[in-house]
Order: sequence, then structure tokens, then C-alpha cells
Amino acid sequence: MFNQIYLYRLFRNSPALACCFALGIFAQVFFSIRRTQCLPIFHYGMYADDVSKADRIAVITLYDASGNRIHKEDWNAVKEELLEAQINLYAAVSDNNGLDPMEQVAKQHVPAQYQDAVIQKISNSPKVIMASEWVAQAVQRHEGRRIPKIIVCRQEVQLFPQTSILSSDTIMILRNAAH
Amino acid sequence: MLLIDHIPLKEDVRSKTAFCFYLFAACILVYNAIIGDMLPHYQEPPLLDPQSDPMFWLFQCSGIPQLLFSNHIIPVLFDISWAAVTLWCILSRGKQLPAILFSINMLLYFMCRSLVYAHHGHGYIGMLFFSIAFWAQSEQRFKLLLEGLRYYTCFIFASAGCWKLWKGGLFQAGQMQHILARQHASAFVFHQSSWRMPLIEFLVSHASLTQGILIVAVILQLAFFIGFFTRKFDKLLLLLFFAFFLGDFLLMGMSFYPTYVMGLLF
Repeated sequence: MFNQIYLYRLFRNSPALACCFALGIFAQVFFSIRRTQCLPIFHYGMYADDVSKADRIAVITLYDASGNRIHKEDWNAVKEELLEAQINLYAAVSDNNGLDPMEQVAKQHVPAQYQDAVIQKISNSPKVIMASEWVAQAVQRHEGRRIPKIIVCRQEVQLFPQTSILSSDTIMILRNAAH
Repeated sequence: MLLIDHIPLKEDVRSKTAFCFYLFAACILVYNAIIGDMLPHYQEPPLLDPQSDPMFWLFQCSGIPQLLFSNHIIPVLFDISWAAVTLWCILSRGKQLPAILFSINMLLYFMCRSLVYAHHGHGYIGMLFFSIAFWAQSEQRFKLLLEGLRYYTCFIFASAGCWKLWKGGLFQAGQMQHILARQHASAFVFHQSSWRMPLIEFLVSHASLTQGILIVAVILQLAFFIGFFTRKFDKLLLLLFFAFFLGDFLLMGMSFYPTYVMGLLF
């Protein structure tokens, strides 16, 4: 009967592996309850939250100097996703008065004697200037043309009962970007 | 019986699986190189996000990602070494040393990619865990690890289904309608045309039908609980496995292609 149980068979083969597996199960339960992820424990609760009442969503849009929208959705999905990730990280710093929100997290959770060293390694605050250059170059590379001015906006849109743009907020203006 | 047992190679399960797995990995490398999803394509991204994962904090504190993104050359060298290791794995049928090197490459790629994209790339977890099974040299231990991986695959689906029940999203009218609209928000607002949009527009305007699709998807995910108790329905689970990813691709535009290799476990 015990031979039917996976953990028992694994233990018979390698007690160390069986302990790792059992520990993994406990860690998975622990982190699942906390809804956090800690490599190699992952959380698979995507799209589980109720979104039926949240009818506003922020979308990132790009415009050139003439106000024409740059169609980033024409690039392949990974290029668009990567660009949006970098823009969102940039926005997180600029929305927080130039301070990376991760610095506050570090101050709460990292012992005082290590805080400065950790913040120096993880903070995005000193790198936002480079990020704007990176975004400008990425947009021009994907578009395959030089764009003298790129305006990056975050627009709040309403999806129901009909789609409309509620507000528009400029995240960055990139001028004379190098190609 | 594993799917791998049907593959007509006169070798043991470990060698056959290694051949299939690393061949698949090579295809993923080539595909990612084509679509621009390898480290050199990121062009030294300045902003990295370790999120709330302590292991990613440690990784970033180690300075490894900064080193990998420090110039144009290092990411290229990394990719060349990964490709060479993958080839070595194919030719050696997953010997232990190249298998360990492959896992290290895979882990570094997964972590760097997650830092740059600011979310855990769940699509690569299956490959990462699968690669660890080849660290076992004995046939018996390898089969036990594959069995554990099969349970983990069942867990991924069953857990996703349970969360949708637990958080109550499934029971909210219009949940799937809103998920779809959010997923394709830009396309809706700017009236973009793509082959997917007529289907999405139809579904978003038929909330009950769309909610029905979500219920079917959750039932499909929960069906993987069967996998914890018996292997009798593995062929059905394999079908559901690919059906789920097909639906995800058609409706959500999400492609978890590196995860397809987990299909070998059923």
C-alpha cells in the first residue's frame, strides 16, 4: 500500500530528495497563503481576483511630435512588453518623487547595517536618465526610423459601457533622441 | 505510460527524454532569438525589478544581472555558451555535467528576464524544473523525478483553478468579459485590427457566453486533480493541457510555449 505513495517511494530511493520534496510542499503552501513568490516557489493565482467592477485601466501610449500615435502593437509582443515594463518602472520612480519604491521596501525589511548596500544594488532611482535614453533608442529601433520627439503617455481608459479615454498623463518627453 | 514511451528510439527513458527535451530547448533558443527575446536583444536595460521575491533581491545584490547587462559582449557570450551547452546535452543525451550547466544557464536567463520584464516569467518554470530531473544519473531516480514533475504540472493547473474559486472571480458576472477587455484594452480604445479582435469583440459583447468559457476553463484546470490519484486519464489530461494553452493563445494572446515540453510527462 505504501508503495503507491510517491513520497514513500522517493524516500526509499533518496531520503534527501524526499525531504526536499516535502519541504517544497510546505513552502508552497506557506507562500501560497501569503500570495507571494520566492524562487523556486511560484504562485499561480493569475486572473483569480474579481475584476468585474474595475472598469478603468491604464494603457501606455506613444506619440510623435505631430501627435501621431506610434503603433507599438505592430511590433512583436515581446518588444512591446519589454518597452512597457521599462516605462512602468520609470513611472514608478518618477511618481514617487524620483525615489524607487523598492528603497522603501528595503528600509522596512532589510537589517539597518545592510540597507545602504542593498539599496545601492537594487535601486532604479539613479538610472532613470539612462532609462529615458533606452526607451528613445528602443522605439526608434523598433520603428526603424528617427523620431526627433517621442511623448510617452499613460492614459486612463474606460472600457464599459463603451470605450473612452478618461485622462492622459505624460510620463516622459524624449527630444532629439539618438538613433 | 509516458508520452515519451511512444517515441520510437531504441534507448532508455532517460536518454529518450533527454533527446526530446534538449531538442525542444534548442528550438526555444532559436525561436527566442528570432522574436528578440534573448539577453542581447534587451540592449542593456537600465531598470530592473526584483519585485517582492527575496531570491531576486539576493540575485541583484550579487551583481550578476548587472554584469550580464553591462555591455553588448557579455549577453552574446552567455547565449553562445547556452547554445553550446544545449548542443552538448543533445549529443550526450543529457549527461550530468552538461545537464547541470544547462540548468544554471536556464536559471540565469529566467531570473534576468524576470528582472527586466518586472514579473516572473511563469512560462519558463516548467523547462527550468524539467532540466533539474537530468541531474539524476540513475534511471530509477530519473523516473521518480519525472513523476514528481508530473505532479507539479497537475498542481500548476489545479492551483490556478482553486485560486479562481477561492478569490471569487469566477462567480462575478462579467468577470471574463472584463478580463478580455483589460487584456486587449489598447486594441479596444484605438480600434486596432488584428485577426484576433473580431472574436474578442464578439465575446466581450456576449457576457454570458464569455463567462461560460471561464467556467469551462476553470473546470479544465480543476480536472488536473485527477492526475494526483491516477494515471489512467493521462491522455485526456494531455489533451486538456494543450487545449488550455490553445485557448489562452486564442483569447488572451498569451503564449506559454516553453511550457509545452511538460506535455512529455503525460
